[in-house]
Amino acid sequence: MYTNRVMGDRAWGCGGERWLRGARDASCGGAHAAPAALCKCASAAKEWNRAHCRGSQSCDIGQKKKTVFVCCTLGYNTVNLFMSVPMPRAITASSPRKKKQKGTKQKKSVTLLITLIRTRVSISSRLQPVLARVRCLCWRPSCCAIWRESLDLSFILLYPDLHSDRLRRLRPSLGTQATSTPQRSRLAMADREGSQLWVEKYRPRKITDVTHQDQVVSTLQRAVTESAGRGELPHLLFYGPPGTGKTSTALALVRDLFGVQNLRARVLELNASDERGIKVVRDKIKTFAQTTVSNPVPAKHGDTRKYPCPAFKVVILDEADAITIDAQTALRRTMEAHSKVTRFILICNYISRIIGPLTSRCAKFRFNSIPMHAMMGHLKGIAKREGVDIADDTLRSLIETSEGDLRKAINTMQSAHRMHSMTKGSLDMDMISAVACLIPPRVLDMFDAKTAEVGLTNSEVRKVVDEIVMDGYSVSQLLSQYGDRLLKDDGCDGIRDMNDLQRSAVAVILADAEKGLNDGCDEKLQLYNVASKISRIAGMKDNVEGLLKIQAI
Amino acid sequence: MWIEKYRPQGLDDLLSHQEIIATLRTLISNNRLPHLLFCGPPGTGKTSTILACAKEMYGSSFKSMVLELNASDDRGIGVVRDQIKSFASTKRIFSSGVKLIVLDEADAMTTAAQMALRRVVEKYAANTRFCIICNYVNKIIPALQSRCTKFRFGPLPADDVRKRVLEIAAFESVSISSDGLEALLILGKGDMRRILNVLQSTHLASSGARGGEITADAVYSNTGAPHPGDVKAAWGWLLERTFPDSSAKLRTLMQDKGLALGDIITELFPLVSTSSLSKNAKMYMFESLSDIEYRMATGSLEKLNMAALIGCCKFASAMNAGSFSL
Repeated sequence: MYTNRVMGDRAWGCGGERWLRGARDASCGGAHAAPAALCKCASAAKEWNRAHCRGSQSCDIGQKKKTVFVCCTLGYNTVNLFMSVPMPRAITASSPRKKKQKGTKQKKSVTLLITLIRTRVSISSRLQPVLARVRCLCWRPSCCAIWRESLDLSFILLYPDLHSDRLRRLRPSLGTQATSTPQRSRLAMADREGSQLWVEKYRPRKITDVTHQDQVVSTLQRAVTESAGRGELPHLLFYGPPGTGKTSTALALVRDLFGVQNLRARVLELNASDERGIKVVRDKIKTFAQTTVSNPVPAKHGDTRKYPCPAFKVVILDEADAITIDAQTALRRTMEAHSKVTRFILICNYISRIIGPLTSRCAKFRFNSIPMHAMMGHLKGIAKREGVDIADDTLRSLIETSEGDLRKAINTMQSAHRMHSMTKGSLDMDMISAVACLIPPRVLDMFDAKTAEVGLTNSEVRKVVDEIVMDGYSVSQLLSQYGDRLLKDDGCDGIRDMNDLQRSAVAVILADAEKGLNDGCDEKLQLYNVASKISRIAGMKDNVEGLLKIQAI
Repeated sequence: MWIEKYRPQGLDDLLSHQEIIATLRTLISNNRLPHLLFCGPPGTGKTSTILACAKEMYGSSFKSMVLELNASDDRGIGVVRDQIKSFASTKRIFSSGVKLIVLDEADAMTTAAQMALRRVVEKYAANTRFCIICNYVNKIIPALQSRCTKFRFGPLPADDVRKRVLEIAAFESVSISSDGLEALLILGKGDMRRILNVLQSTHLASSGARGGEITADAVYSNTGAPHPGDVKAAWGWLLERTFPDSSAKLRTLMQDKGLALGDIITELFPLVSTSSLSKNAKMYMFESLSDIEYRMATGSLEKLNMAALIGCCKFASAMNAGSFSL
């Protein structure tokens, strides 16, 4: 067991122990308390780290290893901490080691996987769909500066195990029937403790509940009320940025069509956590699509709603852009040949990753980012029902930071609420930005002011960058927020002094660096590049040719 | 599903590709059908054509004479050796004539399987014909291509599509305005399947709300494709306004209409090429647009790329005004 080794290591010292103790305390406090408590103790670790650890190589765990994962299973009263080494495979195959406990049936309430990832390669290509569903992720990486210092890691994620059946257990909207009685009572218990995810709790149950997507909603509503009875629903393709309600709409649609009773017989839901290679398409999906539909189960007593329950089945392929091209090719004819009995709903973020023949078979619906006022109403409703004390201004800036992603906004609010449920008073922006892992304005101001200084020397650029990276701020977050300021033209002296062409050059450079980060480049180097280029641009006010050259390199 | 409802049943129902159909008809009636290779973009009627042919040739014995395999079936080398070979090598007792094996979506077949097919195609030519259907002909090995007669299915011409869409609209009692029809044709790009899908979903969306007529606006908003007018306006802002100004404008446009940056960029390409920019500026624009598109395709942040787009346009207009070049 690695635990002892980790615990015994010098680097873990007091900070590490507090961290672990926090995790253990957290495990007793229900599902959602855990991340919050972890955040707290992690920031303790950070303090400790600042005092003791900077620059020294006091921890020798895995120095030569590329990637290190730390999985942390929070049982009712146990903490298993163990490290596994090599590949991102650990993310999907994240079945935690079970530790048997005598006398108790409740082995574990929630499994948390704390993942430390060195490069961003794995993030961009494999993790993005998973990341979108991360709950309280990303306390600032600096929270875990211990790890960064000694292992040169740049990311720490924390999320509940995404294994499909466990996800379904968490998701009351689908397959509640399937859960056995003890599970259900546990769910109810979790609900009482308030540890249920708000995202799941307030997931729309009916199509008309879906926030903002009027165009899509009215189309689908008509499909449910009028033509679906005659079997006239085309294949659907939902695409759009994360957190805009694609999955919710799909789930609400099938609930409206079939009713809860028939969901298991009529709906097959597959997402990125399930295996979806070409084999699955040929076997599982095809078998499901081929078999004829069964008679609808009559609605439960007391359920007065009438469901059209048309004579077809629905296959929901969530995160379809993660399906391999081969498997997509194999899907083409299946969709057509069995369209009498089966309709497909494909859900994806990037439509460019779905092959042309598939998109031409579906009716496409784009889900737009949810605008301020719609988010505002929705969040206010949740805040009222959950008793969150949050001012309108704070809410507004919370929404601004979440960029039209409702899920992100709700998650941030819940985490912040949990984290500060002890302190009295309303939530303020500092708490929000601590949870949402934003870069505080003062750091941005510093970056802006320093880089805009004309004639900055090499070592000075390095100093600025080092300071930011040392503090553990995420560089891509910095680029994104700096880009925001560039676009919105507010609050930055350095940017305000630039003319249009200078800004244009900066914009191109930012986009380039972000692409580099996405491809797994080194954060520090990219930021060096950006900072030194901006400082050169700042000195080239009227030199159009020079600007052109700088941004074209 | 209108695309299944209105799938052509016989050779006469098929839209356009008159020469191909005429050739096929002659070949069938003379009983001289060669091996066929159909290639072309999606939604141009390849599968429909061969199925219609088969129905015409076999009538009621369709099921026993035709083997249809597509990418959803396992088609490794094992299948070629067992299933295809045993179907091709046996003769029916009571029916005469050749059998037909349709290999749909053959570009997904492994090279090894295609290799194994070479000899099978030749050896059983006496009683079996193959029809290989694919989107990308370069994915079929040359040895197979040379054994087949190749028919290329181009995108459907607008006139034929228009006629068929109007027929279907009349049949489904959908009212469609003339600009709506044109928008449908532009978005469909000769892909009948996509056109019908858009038509059906737009019909679903609009028949309740706006008196049922399908207009250009309804088509564009339903597919999420940018309206040409919007993009034109955006292009004007990008060239003329200041950086913060155009960014504000562009952001509100994208927010209100729900446009994706990728769509805007695709629509900008024709505008750039017909614009009055200088040669250098145009070249620079194309280069930058493709760069941005590449970044977007690998999942970069839309926000930063939007900033980059504005930046590029600023540079382009500066290059247009002065005589700068890279």
